[in-house]
Amino acid sequence: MALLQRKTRRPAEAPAAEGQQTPPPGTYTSQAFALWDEQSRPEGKRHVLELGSAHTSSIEFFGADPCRLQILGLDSVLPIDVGPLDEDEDPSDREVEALREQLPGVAPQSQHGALCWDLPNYLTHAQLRMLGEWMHEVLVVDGVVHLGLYTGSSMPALPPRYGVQDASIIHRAPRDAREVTCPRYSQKDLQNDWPDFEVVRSFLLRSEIQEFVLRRL
Amino acid sequence: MWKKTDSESQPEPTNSIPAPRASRAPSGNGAIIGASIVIDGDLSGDEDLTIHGRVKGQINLPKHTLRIGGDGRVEAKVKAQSIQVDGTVKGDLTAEHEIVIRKSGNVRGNLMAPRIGLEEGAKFKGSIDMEPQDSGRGQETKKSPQPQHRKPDGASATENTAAG
Repeated sequence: MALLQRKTRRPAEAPAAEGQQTPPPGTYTSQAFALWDEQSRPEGKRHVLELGSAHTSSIEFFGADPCRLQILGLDSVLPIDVGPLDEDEDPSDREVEALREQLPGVAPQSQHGALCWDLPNYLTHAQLRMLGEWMHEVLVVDGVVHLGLYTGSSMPALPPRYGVQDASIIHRAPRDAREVTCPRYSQKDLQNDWPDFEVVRSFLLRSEIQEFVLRRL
Repeated sequence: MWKKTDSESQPEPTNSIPAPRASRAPSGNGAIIGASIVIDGDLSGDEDLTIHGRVKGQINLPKHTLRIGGDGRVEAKVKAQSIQVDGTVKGDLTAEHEIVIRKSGNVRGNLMAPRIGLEEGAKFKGSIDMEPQDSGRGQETKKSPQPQHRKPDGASATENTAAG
């Protein structure tokens, strides 16, 4: 079944499954988010890291239940331009440091879930590794991460803004019409850079994004 | 000769229809801190307050609305019944009713209120602490309280899945 679906993949937003309504314009159906949502709910108050921007619909969604939503706003700073380097300077050191400066102080093992959306595509390998280490530090054991990797040759020049409409409908608003070459990180890259996480499940969307739900080990 | 009645002689009421405007205080008799005013210290009061100037310290209006105008700059820990932000805030905001960050608003800090509104274009960085007073809406979207690693029901025919 899964292989058959892979063959029918098209470069367009995924239509709704049979019997469901078509998602409104500017939105898409995300089973990965639905799974993430289900698995990030603790018995008590949920603590969620939103690596992107604050979005009204996300606030409404998470505010339906006791929740502490931490907004990092990385989508407004990625990709990070570290500027000119000294001759003997390793660019990855500067890149990692620049990203680290954007990450807030968060209590260790305090977060039940994290939403990265497509932000990893705007990171270098070194930055991705550092983000994985930071995630491992701040997420509880079995905490879950949602992220998406572009599988096509290009991607938006700037990260789009994401918002949660409901448990499976996601808003996606481009911020720039330009496109840039995509790093085409693979699942293997992800597993190499985030060794302390395992892929719970992945979903290949017709919009050439592979969504992942990762679990912190 | 034609004596006007009291109602005719009075200016036309402007507040018969609520018209929220950026330059007006939330209520007709609220206090206003002007754009040239700088306050370094604690503020408390028993009326609505609009800040167009700069305030650094603590603000405490437990039964009233605080509005930070588009040119207002606040670096403070704020507690109020309701808070509306058009300007810039660095600090934690706590409201008994609601916090609204307008499209021109820029907040860096932590928010705590039963209702939080964020207009398109508003900038916010920090955490939002939400304790819904009425949990009924949440039950509509809430799923299994037991987080288990299981596949969601009704796997979509539109997406390919690959187990990790």
